[in-house]
Amino acid sequence: MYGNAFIDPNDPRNKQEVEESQELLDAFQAKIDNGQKIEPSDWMPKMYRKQLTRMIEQHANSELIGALPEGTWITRAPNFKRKMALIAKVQDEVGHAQLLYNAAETLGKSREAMLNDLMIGKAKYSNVFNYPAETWGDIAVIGFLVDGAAIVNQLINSKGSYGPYCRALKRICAEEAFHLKQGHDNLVALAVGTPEQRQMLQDAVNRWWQPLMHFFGPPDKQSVHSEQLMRWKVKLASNDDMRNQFLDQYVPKILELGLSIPDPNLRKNSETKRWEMSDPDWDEFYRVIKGDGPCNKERLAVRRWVKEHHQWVTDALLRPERVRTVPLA
Amino acid sequence: MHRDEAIKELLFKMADDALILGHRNSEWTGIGPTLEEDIAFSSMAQDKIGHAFQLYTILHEHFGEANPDILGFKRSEKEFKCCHLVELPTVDYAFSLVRHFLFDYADGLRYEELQNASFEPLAQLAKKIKGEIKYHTMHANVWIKLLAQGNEESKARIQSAINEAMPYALGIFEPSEYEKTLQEEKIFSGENALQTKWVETIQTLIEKAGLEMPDITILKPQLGGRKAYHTEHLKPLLDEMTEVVRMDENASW
Amino acid sequence: MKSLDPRINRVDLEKGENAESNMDNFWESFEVFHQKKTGTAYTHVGSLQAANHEMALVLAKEQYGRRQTTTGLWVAKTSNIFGLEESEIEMFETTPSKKHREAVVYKTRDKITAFKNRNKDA
Ligand SMILES: [Fe+2]
Ligand SMILES: [Fe+2]
Repeated sequence: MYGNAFIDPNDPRNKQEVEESQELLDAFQAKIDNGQKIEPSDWMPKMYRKQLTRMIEQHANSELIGALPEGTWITRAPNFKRKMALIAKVQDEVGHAQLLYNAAETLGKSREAMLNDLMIGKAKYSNVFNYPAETWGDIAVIGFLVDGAAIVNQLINSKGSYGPYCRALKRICAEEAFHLKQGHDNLVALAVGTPEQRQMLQDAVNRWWQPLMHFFGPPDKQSVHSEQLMRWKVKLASNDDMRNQFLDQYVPKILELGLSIPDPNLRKNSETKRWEMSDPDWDEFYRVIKGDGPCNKERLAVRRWVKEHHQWVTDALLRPERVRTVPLA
Repeated sequence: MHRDEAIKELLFKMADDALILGHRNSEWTGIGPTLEEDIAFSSMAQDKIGHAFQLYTILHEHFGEANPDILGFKRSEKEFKCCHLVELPTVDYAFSLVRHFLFDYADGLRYEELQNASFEPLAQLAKKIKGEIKYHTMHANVWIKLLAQGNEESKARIQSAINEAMPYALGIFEPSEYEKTLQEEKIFSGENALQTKWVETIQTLIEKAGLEMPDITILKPQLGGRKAYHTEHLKPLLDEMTEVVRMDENASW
Repeated sequence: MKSLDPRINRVDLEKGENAESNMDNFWESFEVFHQKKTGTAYTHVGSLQAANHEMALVLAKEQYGRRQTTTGLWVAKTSNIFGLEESEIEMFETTPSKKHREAVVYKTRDKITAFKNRNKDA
């Protein structure tokens, strides 16, 4: 998932691998409770390192793979403004991947290892990028709504406890402001345009709605609940809370344009202040995670092609005297 | 009036080159060789498209031509004046780097001279973007040098890309029928003079990198672009670029 | 495999099947320091991978300078940066209490006033 990938601490395979001294654990917890950030050279529980590596790595993968659906329309953007905005936006996503791989590397896994695991299908990324960008309307929906959902998640994660991840997210969130604006600008242009443009946009909203509802992960009642992740400030909000926040912010912006949302049961309960909706197809969600979405195969094939096609560039400049160092990020 | 025609011709070919090359280079965005280089190359693609936009804007504001979006996205192949070098498909990174190296050194020298053009809007633009082009040539030179001195394979790839691209690069300098006017009007000293300076510059760099400069006296320059005769690659490029905007010519996007 | 992306359709994706995982496939890590305004200090802004210093600077320009004003940029190999361990940070624990380094603890006014009063009385 985006910055939303957690290891189930209740799974016996993940039970505390080594005895970690209670004293160290307490000092670590006290630091976090104090609002201090954890830095790469600090002591940290094995499980914390593992959780964060997985989370940041998957986030980085999502940025990199996220460049592909939007890249689909780079050569076809319809005017100067859109063409330059789209290239700059996709470029930023590659930049986010770069920052996040650095942050993940500080925990001990190298960039090559992460890119390898990605291209062989061992590592995951956000499911939302396994769907195709079929028309230009999809670019508006991705730019505004997928980025909108990502921002909800990233803003929350930026309050987390791991220093390098927070630093990367601070810059990322600042850049997302532009993504959101250009996405909204594109969306509005289509929404107020010709009937054909509106139809193209509505079709895109219809296609992306379910992946968007999947974006924050399964409902709280089904998902792994971890007190510890919350205490460690690794996970800072529940899936349902984030989904609810997204709906609060974005449903009105869709409806004000006279667009419809393809869920007749979507409504806000005025008493609980929570959104109610039809249950999205979670079987599909798990199917896509397992690799069976409409674009999984292409996404990985592209990453393998990138590696193979450009291998000569890397090979040519490998210096024998180079040393492997962990970036400071 | 003759002066106007001469300036317009210069602006159109510069703008068309920049748009088509920027478009070609953006084909690497998201799938470039390393993350950092992907970002750098995307930036330069944006710069190029930005240059095209600004040149079309001068045409629009000073010569009554249509607005930049129409000039960029709604002209037919037969109205484009770009050189063949920028039209060639993006095949591998060696070729893209070499094209960027050859083109941007020419562009840098061209804009350097245009800073003193008697046509103020163009001189202004040339001053404004000189820093951008300085970065482009620095980037190109660092990469060409490193890969030329990398290993056998990378050296061979760069050398063969240079050999392949050179006749097309000479097409950048296809003379125009307005050369004399541009000189007399103190706008631009002409394509021939530019080519001479360019050959000197890149020959030094190519040789310093340990590569071989092709003998350009025996090469046949690929001409015709400036007269709107194009390679078979331009038409499909334009069809692709305008796929969305052609859905509805009257819609605004 | 037919892609919706015309760029992808132009390449031979099957060649990617030869891509090999290779853990020795890395350039060096560099740290980037950025100056926003002349007269201000350079700030560490992040890291990148490059083949040498020259390339590191060229790449840093876009990854760390494309979205903010820049008046200077430095790169240094990460391997040349040395820092303290967490356990060593306790060396700084008493620093805030070193009052003898602070201006506020040097209070002279009372003594001067007393001195003046004494002289007046005399
Ligand atoms: Fe992003
Ligand atoms: Fe984004």
